[in-house]
Amino acid sequence: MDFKKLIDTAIKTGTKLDRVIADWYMLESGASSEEPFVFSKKMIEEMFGAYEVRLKSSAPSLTGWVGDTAEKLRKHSPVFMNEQLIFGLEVALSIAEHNASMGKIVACPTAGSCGVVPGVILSLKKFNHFSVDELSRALVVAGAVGECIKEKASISGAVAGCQVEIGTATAMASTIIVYVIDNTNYDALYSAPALSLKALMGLVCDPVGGFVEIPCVKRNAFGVSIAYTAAEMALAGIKSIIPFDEVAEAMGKVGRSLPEELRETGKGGIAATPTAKKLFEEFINRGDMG
Amino acid sequence: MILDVIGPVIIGPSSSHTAGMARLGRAFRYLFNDLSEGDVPLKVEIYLNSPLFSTYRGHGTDRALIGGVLGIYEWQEELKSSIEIARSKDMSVTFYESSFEGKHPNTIMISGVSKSESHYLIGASTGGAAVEITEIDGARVSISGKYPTLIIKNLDTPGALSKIVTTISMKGINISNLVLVRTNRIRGEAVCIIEMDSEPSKDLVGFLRGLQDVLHVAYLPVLAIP
Repeated sequence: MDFKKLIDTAIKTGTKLDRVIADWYMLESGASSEEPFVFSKKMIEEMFGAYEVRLKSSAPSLTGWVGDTAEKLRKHSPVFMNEQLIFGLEVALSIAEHNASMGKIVACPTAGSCGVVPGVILSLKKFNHFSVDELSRALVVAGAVGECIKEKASISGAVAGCQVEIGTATAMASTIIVYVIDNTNYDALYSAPALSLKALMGLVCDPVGGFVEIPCVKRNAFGVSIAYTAAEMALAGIKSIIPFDEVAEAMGKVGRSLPEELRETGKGGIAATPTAKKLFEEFINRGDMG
Repeated sequence: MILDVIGPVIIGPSSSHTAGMARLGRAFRYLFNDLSEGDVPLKVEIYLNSPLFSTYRGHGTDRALIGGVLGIYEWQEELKSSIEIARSKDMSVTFYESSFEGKHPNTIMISGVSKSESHYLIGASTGGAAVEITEIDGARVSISGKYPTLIIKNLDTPGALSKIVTTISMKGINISNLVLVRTNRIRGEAVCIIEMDSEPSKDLVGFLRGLQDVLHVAYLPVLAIP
């Protein structure tokens, strides 16, 4: 499935893109065309819920390696970034930390990359006052973007590296930003996810010890900043010269050429550094859990 | 499907190491007919494929599997404290390292006993919380948990399957997939796996249990509820 085809249908029929996608979903699944909106609203509520729950708890992760990053950002007075972006980063870190400590999250597209989309959605709600209804329509469009990447590449770090986990989340998040700002700016809608993927192309999946903690939690915050950057560039009229569908294909090829050490095995990249090995050894020898 | 990339809602940190494992634990629980809500098996042994064994604590795989056996869903906060809940209910759990050669890397086996039954299950968490169950009580199977599924142990005699299928069809339920495997020639036993398009009523499951050639009926509801 090409994202371009969905956009062309929207242009040709003069129908909003979210509606085109919902109809396409209906044809494919046999479900009602309202279902995607009901579902995405529910998912947005779960995202808000996860952030609220995490605010009241600062439980460390299962290994104890991460757990205080969101709080540090919360207490920090921004030096360079505006409040909206800082808040987006903080939400992403909160939710990713919540995930690492066995909190309840929305896998979007995966558990390891669960902070990026909420980071964007919660910051758009708080600072630009978009309604849950508007955001849910944008999330349905983002779902189509994610599905395209899933079909052309993968959304599993074990298959194609972090580029398809944080990368897909970022592409989806940038789509949401553009869609709520201007849902008929098709050039921007087609460019923002492509720019996002190009920024993260080649990113390897190298979790320390194989756990969804280091560097996964922090990469969620970077996903938010790249999503805002891509959306801002796209809204300025900067086009991705290489179309999104081709970029997604290319990402799949890059993923398939990644060696196994760099695909979630915890054997390559930063997971293979002396400090990472030491951390893992200490954790294994601790034996104080379970 | 577009909605496959948004959700499911799960307890972290990993859809394959945590959420899928909780589903496998829950599937194992459904094999027991003598466990009402709140009941637990007396003793459970869990065998983890080698790649899982070195990392299961850091992924919460142990908590997820135990939680599933307790009947906790993969989106319920209680999953996190499943080890403590199991302890309070005197369910003994032991983890072992094992080698499932030629199988999916995330393959596990759960075996356990209740007051009157004993079962085992082999399955894998294949990513995105999806699972594949490959063996149940000596029968090689392939169950995804995407359909309501009946696992019927029956006598390996002529007409046994016919009675089962007729009983189901009389309730107006369409069978989507059906497999019958002989599990023990000497004892004359077979296992019938029936995936259906709709949920069977409690009456139907009870009726199947009462059939002459039927030895045991386990009902596995759809595992992947969004």
